[in-house]
Amino acid sequence: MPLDNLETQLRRGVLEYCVLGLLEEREHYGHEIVQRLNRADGLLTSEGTIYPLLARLRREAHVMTEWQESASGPPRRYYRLTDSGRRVLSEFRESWSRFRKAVESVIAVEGAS
Amino acid sequence: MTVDSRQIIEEYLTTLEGELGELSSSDRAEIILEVREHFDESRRALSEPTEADLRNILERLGAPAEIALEARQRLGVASRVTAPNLHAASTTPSGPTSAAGLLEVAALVGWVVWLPLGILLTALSPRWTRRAKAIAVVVQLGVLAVLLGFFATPAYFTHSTGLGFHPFFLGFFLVIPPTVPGIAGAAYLGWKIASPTSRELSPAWKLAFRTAGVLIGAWLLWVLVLGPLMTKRGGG
Repeated sequence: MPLDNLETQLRRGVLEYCVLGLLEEREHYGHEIVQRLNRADGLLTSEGTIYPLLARLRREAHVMTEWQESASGPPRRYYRLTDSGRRVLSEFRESWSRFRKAVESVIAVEGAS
Repeated sequence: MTVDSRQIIEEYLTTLEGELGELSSSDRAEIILEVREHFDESRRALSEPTEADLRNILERLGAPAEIALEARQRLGVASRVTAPNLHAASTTPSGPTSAAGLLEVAALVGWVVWLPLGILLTALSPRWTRRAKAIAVVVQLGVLAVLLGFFATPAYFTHSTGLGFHPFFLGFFLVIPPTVPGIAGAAYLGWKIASPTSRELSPAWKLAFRTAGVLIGAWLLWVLVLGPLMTKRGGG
């Protein structure tokens, strides 16, 4: 089905910005990021696939990592948004809202006629 | 209940590591580390995990081949994360992270020509992280301090020259152009543009850097503060 493929492509494309968005509110460790994305229906199919993406975001310096002690159990590796990550996120936000409006305007017009 | 959870995860990680063979060793190590952390975290959430529970964690992680495919796509060469422009009409030709702009070039020149200007322009640029900006200033100050220390070393071994001023000032301003520390700061910032990666240093390197920092700091304290003080008292 072409729509399945479209959804996969869209999900792949926006996933990194969803991660940046998550980290905007506060820092998270890997497992936490997975759980938050799991709660958003359909964003993550296989949990392990988030880690290559996180490695890349770090390589691009959009996020940084830091080991922090935890009250229960061993230290955890936290991901935090950097200034450049924040910038990319705000650009995406703008781009996404324009795109959505553009699509919805066209679809609404065709639906009405 | 004896489930050898170590064996289960190690088998999985061995397969994953094999699948990740094409990646750089640091990317590979990072993914392996995070998958292991993820497994441990999931396991700790269960009070008494059965083997089926543990297999389930791995199933949710996905097949090693699937993670490896994702890694090749995400971490392959020449792929960078920048915000896509989904709206073609307002496409601007160059993304902000693609290259240094006029502001950044002016900032780097400023570091060499007139430091306050360089620092001001750097502060205005969104191209560098706040951390990189701070490090550049620290690098500049550090090089300045080391140069001062270098020329101060003979100063307190030398007896009065009769020139009316400390000989090290002469040496400092004649031999070292005052812009050298600025060039060091600019070099750091330029390097951050050329390779914006921020790798985590291994503990051994961190220790090495800290040790070097302490040694240089102790040396500077000696040549710039303690040495001159003692010479003054001794020389009367």
